[in-house]
Amino acid sequence: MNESTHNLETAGPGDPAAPGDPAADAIADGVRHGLDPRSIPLQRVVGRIVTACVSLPLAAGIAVAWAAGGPPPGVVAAIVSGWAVITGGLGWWLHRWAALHHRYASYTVNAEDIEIRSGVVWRKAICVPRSRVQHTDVSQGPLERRYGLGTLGIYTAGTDYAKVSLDGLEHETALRIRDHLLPPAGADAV
Amino acid sequence: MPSEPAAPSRAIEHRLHPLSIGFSLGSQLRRAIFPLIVGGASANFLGVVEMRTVLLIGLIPLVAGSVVRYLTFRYRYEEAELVIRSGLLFRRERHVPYARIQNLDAVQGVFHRMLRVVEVKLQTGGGQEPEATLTVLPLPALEALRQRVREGKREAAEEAAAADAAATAVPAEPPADRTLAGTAEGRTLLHLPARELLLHGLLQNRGMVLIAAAFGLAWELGLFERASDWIAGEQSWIGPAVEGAASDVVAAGILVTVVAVAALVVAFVIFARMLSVAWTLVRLHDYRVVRSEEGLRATFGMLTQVAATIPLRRVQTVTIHEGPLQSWAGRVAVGVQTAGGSQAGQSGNADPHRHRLAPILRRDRLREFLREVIPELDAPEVGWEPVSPLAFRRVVRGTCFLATLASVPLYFTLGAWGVAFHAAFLVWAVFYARRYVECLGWALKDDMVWFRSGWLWRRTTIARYTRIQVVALRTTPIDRWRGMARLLVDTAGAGAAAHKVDIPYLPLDTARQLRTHLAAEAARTAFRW
Repeated sequence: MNESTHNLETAGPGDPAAPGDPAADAIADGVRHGLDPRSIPLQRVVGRIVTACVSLPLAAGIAVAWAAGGPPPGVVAAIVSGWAVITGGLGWWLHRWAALHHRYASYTVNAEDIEIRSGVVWRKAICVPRSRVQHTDVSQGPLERRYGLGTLGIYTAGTDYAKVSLDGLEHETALRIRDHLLPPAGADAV
Repeated sequence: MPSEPAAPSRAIEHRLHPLSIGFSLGSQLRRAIFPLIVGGASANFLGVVEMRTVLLIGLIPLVAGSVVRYLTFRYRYEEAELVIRSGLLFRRERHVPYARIQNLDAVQGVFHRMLRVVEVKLQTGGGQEPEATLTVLPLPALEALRQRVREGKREAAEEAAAADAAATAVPAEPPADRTLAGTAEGRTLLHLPARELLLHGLLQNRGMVLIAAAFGLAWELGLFERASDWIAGEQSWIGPAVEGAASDVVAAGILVTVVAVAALVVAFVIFARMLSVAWTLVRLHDYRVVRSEEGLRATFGMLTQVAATIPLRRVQTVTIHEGPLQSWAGRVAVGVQTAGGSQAGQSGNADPHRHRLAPILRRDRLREFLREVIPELDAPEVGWEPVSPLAFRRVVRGTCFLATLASVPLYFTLGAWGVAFHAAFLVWAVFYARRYVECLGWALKDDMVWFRSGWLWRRTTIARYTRIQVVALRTTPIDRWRGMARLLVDTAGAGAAAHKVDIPYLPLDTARQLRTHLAAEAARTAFRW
């Protein structure tokens, strides 16, 4: 989760991200945008890692039990097929989930607020007024860096939504939204 | 003794009262005594060491910690901040700007009062824990601290006011706050005489909580086993007497049994309520809310005296609580959630904010009281908007399902009588669902969003637009099928158990409009901690 040098350069106070600046307002188009399509393969890689993390220890456990000459061959076959079903099912489900998640996630940047939609079964649309943004950050994990994506974190003084995060954004876009959300210089009213 | 390089300022460093060692040891002991006893008992059981040895060894770090804490703890007043240094190995220096100190609470237990010292908790905007706890200060030091914080805050407020004047488009609320405070210093808003406290104790169910706590403690200490051994013991007369009485009652027929059980229940309830009254009279003795320059100041307590301040600016939401007994007696309770203050449900007996700001209040005084807490508020009566007309069907399905689930065991135990109980439960479920949905309501008035829920235990929460942080619209699959949505208005300082503006079963269009409206209103204004 390290910020690139680029965003450190643009994050200084009083930089030209104040409202009225055309570059900052261009991002606030009030149009609902989907996430970057590259977030699907990224999520699928994550899904495969999760699948491996679940299934490999299981496989190791089964192998140890078998080597120790525990259960009879019939039971071993049943356990192994159960393992195959779990691994295959989980892998398939996470593969599908990436596309589903991408389909229902979106964001809308308006002049005075940002709305983030997410969730497939339980959907939510979280609206954060710009005047309530305490601070923001853009993070990039190693996988995200490979795909050129970034995660935008928006912090508010709220309780349930003290942190609202939006992942699967193109890194550049995340930085631009971040700059748009930054409070205008001189409005530090705490 | 830490021999630090000289501090960059010439301000005098103050220390805690030497009795701090004793008090901090006491509070640590209270926390550590159970683990120690359990550890000691199990070590004893395993035959490793004597319990006494374990307790003694456990005490050493506690004593050492308390002494070190006292010796290393220093605080000093800088121009705009309070600086607190502590720690021997891990040194900590905290800078708390006066302007950021939200609550300065003083707690005085019986021992504190006998020894003329006080425990002080400083709370700032962030987090749930107090920013700093000063255990313990002599009384004059508390006054000095209050004085410094008040001055520091005033200076900061003046600076902020100057900045406000320079900037445009800033709400005129804080200055209004100040003028009001200026004219109304030290006015008592609420005083609870013994009669009201008696009523409060009767109406609320503190007794059950106390009994449950006593039960838990007795369980931990294994008192039950001993008691049952004693009652059922060979020489005891209690066991046979109770047994004999019980069998006599059962032999006398079902009617007598029911009456006897009912009498026992009634006796228990009366006992619980009496406990509740006694507890309330002691705990909330001389409850008083005073409006002063700093905000609202609540002072109460007979044995442990508490003084808690709530700056008006920090009030995020206000919740009005009405239980069935309360509304029968024409009383309500008012609680406030403050940013950064501690929330309900936080542990620790000495937490001054565990109580509602107005634990009991005459209904006809509600309006007056609310206007002191939220100056913009006109009247607590609003025209409530209902939720979706389809909500009843959804709720009634849920309650009927629960009623059926609850009556399944009755079918097994009572046979045909189960049908009667099931029918009665279903009637209740329908009735309850009807009333519950009728009581759900929301309103927009005076630049505030209002939300009311609950039939018997009704709660009304008011959030000003200026305090709205995030507006979230949530839908479940059933919501989408029925064209509904749930709207949550997030504010600062809303604890997990707090009643929030969280409106279920809204028609989707209404929910969307409300969301847009609230978000726009929130965006228009600036939030101040």
